[in-house]
Amino acid sequence: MAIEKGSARPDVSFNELLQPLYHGKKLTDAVNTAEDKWLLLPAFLKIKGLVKQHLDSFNYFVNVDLKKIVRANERVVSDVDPEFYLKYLDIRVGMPQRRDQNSLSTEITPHECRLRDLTYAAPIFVDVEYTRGKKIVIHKGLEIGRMPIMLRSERCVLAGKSETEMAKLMECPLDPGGYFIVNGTEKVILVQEQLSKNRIIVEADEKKGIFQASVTSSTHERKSKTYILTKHGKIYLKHNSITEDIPIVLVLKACGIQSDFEILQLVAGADSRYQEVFAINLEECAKLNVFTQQQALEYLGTKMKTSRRPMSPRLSALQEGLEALATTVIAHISVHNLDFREKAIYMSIMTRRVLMAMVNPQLVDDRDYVGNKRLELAGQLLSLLFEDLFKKFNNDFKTSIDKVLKKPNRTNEFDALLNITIHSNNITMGMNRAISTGNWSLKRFKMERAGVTHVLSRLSYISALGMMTRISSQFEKTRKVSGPRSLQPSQFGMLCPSDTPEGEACGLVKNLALMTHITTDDEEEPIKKLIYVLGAEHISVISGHELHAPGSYGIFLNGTVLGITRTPVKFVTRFRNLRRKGRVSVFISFYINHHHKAVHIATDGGRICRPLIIVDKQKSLVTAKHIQALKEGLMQFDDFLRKGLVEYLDVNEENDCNIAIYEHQIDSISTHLEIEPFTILGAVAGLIPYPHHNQSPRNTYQCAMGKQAIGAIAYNQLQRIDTLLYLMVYPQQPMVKTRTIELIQYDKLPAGQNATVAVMSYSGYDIEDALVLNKASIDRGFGRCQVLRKNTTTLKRYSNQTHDRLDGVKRDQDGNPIFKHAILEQDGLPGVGEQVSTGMVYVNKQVPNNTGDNLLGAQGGPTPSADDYKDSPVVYKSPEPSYIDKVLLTSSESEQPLIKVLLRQTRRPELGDKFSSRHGQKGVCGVIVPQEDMPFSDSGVCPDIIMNPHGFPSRMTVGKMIEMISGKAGVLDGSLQYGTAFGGSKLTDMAKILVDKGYSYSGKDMLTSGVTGECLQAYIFFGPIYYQKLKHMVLDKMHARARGPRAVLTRQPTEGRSRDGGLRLGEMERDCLIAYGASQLLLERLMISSDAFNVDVCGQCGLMGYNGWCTTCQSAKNVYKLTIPYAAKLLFQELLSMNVAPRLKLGDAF
Amino acid sequence: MKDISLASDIGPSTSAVAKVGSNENPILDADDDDPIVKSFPIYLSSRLASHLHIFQYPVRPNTRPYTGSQGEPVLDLRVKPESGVVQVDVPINTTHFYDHEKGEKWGAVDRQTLGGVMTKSEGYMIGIFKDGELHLTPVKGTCQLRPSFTYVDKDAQTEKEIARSVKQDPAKPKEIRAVQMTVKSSDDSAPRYSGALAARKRAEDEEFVEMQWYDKDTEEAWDLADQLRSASREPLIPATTKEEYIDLIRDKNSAV
Repeated sequence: MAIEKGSARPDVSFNELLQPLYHGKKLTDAVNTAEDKWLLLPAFLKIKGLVKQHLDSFNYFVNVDLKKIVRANERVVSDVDPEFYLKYLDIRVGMPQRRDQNSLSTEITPHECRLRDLTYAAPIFVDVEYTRGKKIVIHKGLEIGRMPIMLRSERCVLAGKSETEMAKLMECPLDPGGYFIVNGTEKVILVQEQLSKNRIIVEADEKKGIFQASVTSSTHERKSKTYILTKHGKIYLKHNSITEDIPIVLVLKACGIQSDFEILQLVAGADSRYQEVFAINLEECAKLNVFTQQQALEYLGTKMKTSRRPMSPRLSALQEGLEALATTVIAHISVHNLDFREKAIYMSIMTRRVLMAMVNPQLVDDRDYVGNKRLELAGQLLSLLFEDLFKKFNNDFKTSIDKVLKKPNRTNEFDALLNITIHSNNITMGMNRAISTGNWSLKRFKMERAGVTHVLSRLSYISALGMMTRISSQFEKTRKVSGPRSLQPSQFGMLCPSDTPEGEACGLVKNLALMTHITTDDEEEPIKKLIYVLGAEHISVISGHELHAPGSYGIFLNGTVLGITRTPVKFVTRFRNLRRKGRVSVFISFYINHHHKAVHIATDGGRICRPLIIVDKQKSLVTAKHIQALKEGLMQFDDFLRKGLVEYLDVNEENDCNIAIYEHQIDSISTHLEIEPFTILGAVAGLIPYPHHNQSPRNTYQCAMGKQAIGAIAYNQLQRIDTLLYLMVYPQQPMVKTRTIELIQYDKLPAGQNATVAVMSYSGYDIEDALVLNKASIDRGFGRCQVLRKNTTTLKRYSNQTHDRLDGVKRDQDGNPIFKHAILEQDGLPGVGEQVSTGMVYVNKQVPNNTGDNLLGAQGGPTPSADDYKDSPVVYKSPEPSYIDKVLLTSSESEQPLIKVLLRQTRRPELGDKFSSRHGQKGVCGVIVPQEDMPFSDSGVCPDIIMNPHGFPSRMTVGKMIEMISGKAGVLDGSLQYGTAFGGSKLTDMAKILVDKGYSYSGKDMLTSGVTGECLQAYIFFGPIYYQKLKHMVLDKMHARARGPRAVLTRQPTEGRSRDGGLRLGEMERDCLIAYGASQLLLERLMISSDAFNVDVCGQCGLMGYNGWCTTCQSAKNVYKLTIPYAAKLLFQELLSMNVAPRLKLGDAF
Repeated sequence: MKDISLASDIGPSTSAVAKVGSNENPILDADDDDPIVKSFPIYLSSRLASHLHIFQYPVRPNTRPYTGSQGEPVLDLRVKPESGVVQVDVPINTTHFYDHEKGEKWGAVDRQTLGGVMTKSEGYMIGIFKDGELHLTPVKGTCQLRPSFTYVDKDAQTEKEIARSVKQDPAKPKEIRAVQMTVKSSDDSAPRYSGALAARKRAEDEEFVEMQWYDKDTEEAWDLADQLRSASREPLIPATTKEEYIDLIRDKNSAV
């Protein structure tokens, strides 16, 4: 389940890393564990991949959760016929299938779905048993709908495929998968961060003196939140379905704990501090004259908000109370057979936590602590959605069979199966709609969530990868809170500290670190048994006295107390040993909370965890021998887990451990050893060389910019037809790499080029971070990129048998095609490779004039003539010409012809194009200088880029300087250098290489001015730095307008580049003109060039007339022509419509 | 278990309550600090297996058990076998700290009813240690008995009824109204209760079965206690190793 055995697919990508000779290390070399233990990381990523959490979650959903959902809703019975039933025996999901009729094979590839705008989905089959007449029939393999399949999951055709096989399927082997393809678009279900379910969270508002413990109960049927809180020093229970707060003692009495003595014992134990604080609550209950369980239940019943369903019987107050207590309050603890004890104990523990906070306000929980969070993944979200759809499906099915069964005498025997297939579209459509719109609406929980899915960003490989590791928070972005946004110490190693957006979502959107894994649900039952086997005393024989006795620790499984132990450390050690021996799942966590005197065991899904090396008796269990075996391929990461050398720790357990970062730091209290410190960063921040030398916000800026860099997207980038695709023409892998770059294989799909940079001022066109580019470098291909844009056209069919069609080429008198049709071929489609410029038609579509009612004699009537169609061509509008790259003619799911035309532009860098290094240092091209004017070194090297030195002092990006020195050393040495975080090539070594090759150790060179031929007066910091070209290019932004379209309502110029809009003279600019007194300019800008309008105003009544006539006064006297803004005229008329008469008073201007 | 006040209906030898496996270390680590000093044979007795229940009195100090020798013997025991409701009557000392007025009001209360619901025992056993042998008998169920105040409920009920009748007394004779008659099929009228409500209804519908209580020091109790000793002389021999046992319980589908 969670960790698959070394996948069958020979993953060649990691081979290099595991080769006998790697980075100068031979098998025979002495292995230094301290330095080589990082090799565990590629081994880990080899089995985990970067999106394992998504795949695991989806696989768990398809293999386990789906079956659980069906088992929970397995019977469908009829209200009419008590004999009838339908029972689901099993459910399974097949492999993705095409739905085209008459197709040769049912197999389908993800790439075909992308190209043809299909959904990559597999049929869902069920086995059912039902009654037909008197017989019981079993039907196997009934399709009830189609499930979108996550790419590279177990159900995907790509699962376990080798690189060659992937290439055959037109798929990129480096593509991480983990997303869906719905109607041709790639959709990601982002990881959602939530407060953990079924756990008590205690909070305090010391100013208001409020302390509260709350728990969000979540079961398959309902979600509800229960609070236990203080009000004026007394403790109450609060719940949404109860009209007022109920004294806690009353609630406990309703649970059957009737004597005050026992209540006090359960809540406060023998501690007199707690007893004193709690005593007042006993009095509170007595004041209400409630002494017995019956009275308490009756009291509770009268306070319930009830919404009876019409069919169900009326309940007495006592019954209401009983029902509420059993099912709605703390819903996740079920009550069997009137035994409320478990629930009572749970509530008394909550109450005790409130008491503890009242006595010592420091004993509260931190909402932002990562251990109190759970991550909801695609599988969980889909399972919520599927259960809802499945319930609706069963309901629809039931109503439709009821309708049939109601008929007293049916002519033929009734077969329920005929009715079931009708509704299968609901499941398919429901899933598709949810994923493609991102609106998750669950009827059961009355939950409506928008923006769950996003289109996978294919701007660059990194942006796609970054999206797969992204976590979005449920917090509102608008709230100005710092707590949830700030860095949490507990996110160390789990969430990337650098990768978060700036602005409103800052700190709310996070990214997973490199080694993070997210758990899926594990079975509770076996763990429960083990808890008792390992010596826990069962909670059902425990009274408050033992529960709170000194030295006794409660044992909590997923937040629910199961028993107590007096030897918590021993208990946990034993359990941990079981885990290390592989007897329980590796993802189960154990930790002791000494404040709450509790041993917590967690098996639930969504916990964040990461692997660490176990330390025993001050020795790392992973030794040179193991690393040797790993290198030789004798061991895999799983073997390390199975042998108990490495284990997963979740946030809570991690905080109960002492983790040494380096081997030499292990001391007597160490329990674990970090695998590699650079894994605290995520995939995107991992690109930065020497990030530990940079000011931290610079790394954050780079994380945002790395996603905008133009580069290679995937191996199949030229097969794809995306809406918008940026490709770099000559991408290079960076001179200064990091381990992360190799692990995520950024070196195979890079986005940038190694530019030779001179840090100096030049020409004055380099102020404000502007860069000076070398014209010859650009001629040689530096920064050159291609932009591919898609245009989709469908040839629609209409209800009256007509349909859109393609027309041929129009020609002039000489028989040459007219200019507009110059690139069209006979079929009305453009020729591949043709240049298309403004005004040209590239799909010559025609639409029938009459698409509504039936044409006369439509069947077999006269064929529609040319007059019946009007032209509806696709015209090229952009000012810069493009080339036709591809033309695709296919059909979509609705069998309508679909035409996709891919347009290509090749762009060389120009003034204003944006570039950035990997250190959050962005700049635009300020000037392009001919090579002869550029400075050059004594060896004749000329820089590609000149960067202004003012960029350094305030930014403090020392990492960039070290990158340059390492890069220079690498160039001279013929090697690639490393800038891995907290490690990498040492500066002293690099300086040594430079000196050996006859350069200054500082990386500075003597340069000669290309303009004057003189030697520059200072040594110039000179060397290669990896530069990224960002997607913001002048060509996409340039915009000017003299005349153009106007908005209909106001007759003012339209807004925005896409609508060829005007350039706004805003309020502040207006203020300037007023202050300056340029009234004529103001008039011209605000009215004459905008929405000037001539009106006829009546001087008599002050209202507007027309044609020199005032309708109000019924005269042409005193009517004057006036020019006012159309917006003003509109305002007057709108006021008139509201019965307000604005009257203009006219007077002489001069 | 030493802190809990524990009395039992099965006689005097309830001193040891052992938990299956808890005294062993099924874990693979050897306890270095806790060496084995001596071993004893274990026998399993099943003679009382289907009758053995543990009654707990959570609000009673263990220094004052409900026994005849303490002057507070259990007077009555009633059980609803299906729903597992148990009621025990114990005497109230009316000489000290007793509010006679309230006692009168609630109908001359001289005994207290302790009630509870039986829960299935989770792997608990009762053992007696005799002649260097440990005899274990599995426990069928446990029950926590705590004071129930049915007389208060009864009192409240009568008060409510009185209040109602007072309210109704001066009322005018009921108006004559037209009544709409509807026919309901018989299945509809029986309300279908779910979960807790159903359980309560079951418990209410069931009749109490009166049981005979033998005090700790009676002949019968001692005779019964003897049955805790295993009839067979075959000591228990573990059929599985500790590891195999763990494997039996653990989740087969679990990872690794």
